[in-house]
Amino acid sequence: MLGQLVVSSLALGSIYALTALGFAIIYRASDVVNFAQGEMMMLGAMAALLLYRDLHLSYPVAFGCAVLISMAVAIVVERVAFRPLLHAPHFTVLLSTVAIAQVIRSGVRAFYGQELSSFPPAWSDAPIEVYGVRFTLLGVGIIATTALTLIIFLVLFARTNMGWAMRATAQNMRGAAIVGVSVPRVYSQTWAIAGGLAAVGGILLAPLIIITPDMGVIGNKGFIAAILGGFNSLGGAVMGGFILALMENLIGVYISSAFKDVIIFGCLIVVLLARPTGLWGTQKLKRV
Amino acid sequence: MLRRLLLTAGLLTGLGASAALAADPGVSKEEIKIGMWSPLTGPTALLGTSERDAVEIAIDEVNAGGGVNGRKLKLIVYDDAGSPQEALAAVRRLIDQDGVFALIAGSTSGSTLPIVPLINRAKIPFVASISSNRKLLDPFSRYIFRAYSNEVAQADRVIEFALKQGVKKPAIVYTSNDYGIGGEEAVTHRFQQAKVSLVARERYNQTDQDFSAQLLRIKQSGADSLFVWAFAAESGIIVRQAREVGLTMPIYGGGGTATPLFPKAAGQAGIGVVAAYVAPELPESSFKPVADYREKLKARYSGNPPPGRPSEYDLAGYGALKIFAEGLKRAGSEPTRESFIAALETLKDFNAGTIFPVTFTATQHEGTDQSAMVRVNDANHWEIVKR
Repeated sequence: MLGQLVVSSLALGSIYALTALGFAIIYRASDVVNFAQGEMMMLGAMAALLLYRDLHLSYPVAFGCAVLISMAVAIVVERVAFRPLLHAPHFTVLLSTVAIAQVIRSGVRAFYGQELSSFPPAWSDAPIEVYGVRFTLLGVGIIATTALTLIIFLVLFARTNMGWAMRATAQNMRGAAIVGVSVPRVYSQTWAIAGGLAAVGGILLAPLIIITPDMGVIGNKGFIAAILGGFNSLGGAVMGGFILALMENLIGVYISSAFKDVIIFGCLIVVLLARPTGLWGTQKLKRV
Repeated sequence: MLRRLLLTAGLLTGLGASAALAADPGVSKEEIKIGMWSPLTGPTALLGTSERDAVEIAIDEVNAGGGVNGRKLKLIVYDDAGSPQEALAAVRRLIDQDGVFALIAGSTSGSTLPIVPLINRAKIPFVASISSNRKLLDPFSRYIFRAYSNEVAQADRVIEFALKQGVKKPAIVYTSNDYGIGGEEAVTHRFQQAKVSLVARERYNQTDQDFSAQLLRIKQSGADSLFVWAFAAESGIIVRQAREVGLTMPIYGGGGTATPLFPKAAGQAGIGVVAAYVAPELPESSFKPVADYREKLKARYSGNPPPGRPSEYDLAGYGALKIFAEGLKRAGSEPTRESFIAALETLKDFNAGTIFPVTFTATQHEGTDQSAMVRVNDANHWEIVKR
């Protein structure tokens, strides 16, 4: 049973992890929580559906194009809803991201109507049983794609100039600017990457659930995962995603599914009280 | 000053004149105003847009035939986006500002039940055709009439059917809204009467997308059948995930499951699922009243009705307006809210064509307790297995 629970949690945890990572990189770079992250997921899934099912592109091509589209949208969002508010209070910027979420959701609904679609799975969703644990190739595909995405992200982040500039900006924006980092470009790149991560999460999630303009609500789970793991720790956010998925299933099975959210949010408060920056988060020093 | 006096005087005469014409709001010489609030946007927009189109199509038919006793029907619709707060504001506006004569259709249970006290206070008649929650008419309200069977009646039919198929250890998974909780109560109650107890009762929150925990618990419980009380899209995900975790037992659903969206959402996993269905005919039926309606809906959308349409809510909304018009006709040439209620209570086996015949009496405002049983066939479409 426990084995089954862990396996069942991995696919969903992957998606939570990608979303949480998207939240965390924007937060690290700009101290802002982007509440449109869930909507970016939905947008990615919608784009992939259109390209894959309606335009009959092959899955990898549709996948790649949808991710690129989402990255482009994220760059636009950053330019219109974030950068003009660079010196505005945090609360204003936060409201701006909430507004963007609403614009995307309502826009997609106006364009797409109330249609709900199931995304044809790229890998078989017929269950396979190994030593009493059931899983699907689809689940394996989701986990593998997530792992691949995380590796690509890690390489970009740790081994390229772009990653170096992003890290420098996150540490000290003014200092980075002085040594020649183009901070506006770093912002664009950060949002683009977050948008891309959201799209990957959304596309992977799509065949597990149903595509509707409202599927972005699952972005909230990524938000909780990021808080749990640590909003300013990228690895922490990823771990937070897996922990959250596992917790949900453990509580659901061994305690009660009705109290799942009560207990998870209760735990969240405890974690925040004990470690205000999340499990892996570190205190960012602010000099006054 | 003089101007204000004159205005007041004019207003008073105006008021006097209209009071002499009809005692109740919403009725003028030429027309009768009907109010509706429904989710036209948001996740449950399919319900609201279906009912609105259906009510409007039926009104057009009535008006094309000269209206009711010489008066045309006029519909005022507000969107509640499925939110109880917006529903309350919409109904207040319909009653206080628009001064409608009566209400029709309504919203999902969650946005209809909170309106009941308001309806009772305003003493305004309401012909309901979306909410299936028992509490809409329990406690009884003489102002509310329901056009189709409530969840208790739906659960009765499904369970009757399931018991005949030999179900002994049922489990239920349900959503934590009025529809799901109402269904869970009805299912539990009906099984108790049959001396069968549920081996697992699993609940989930409305925004949940992953149901592994609930389904694994049901698997552990050794259940021999699964009842799903959730709206169509979620039912679809639940059924798919149920098959994935290895639940192979028969699956049964309530009225919320039996919509064209379910087979789309569930895919192959949905084949064989049985559910209660609130009308005697499927929306794609060739039965004449339904086929005629479908043509009119097509014309309304210039040949291209939105996906999932017509839905059973089209059929219910159409039937509700036909019931409404019949009551109004029987209420005579000077209808009041009271005479309209009295007239509706004389309806006996009234057949609107698209829903089961309804009968209302002074003490019974549940129009019918009938539902059909439908099953997803091998072509992944609903088919009627028992009327």
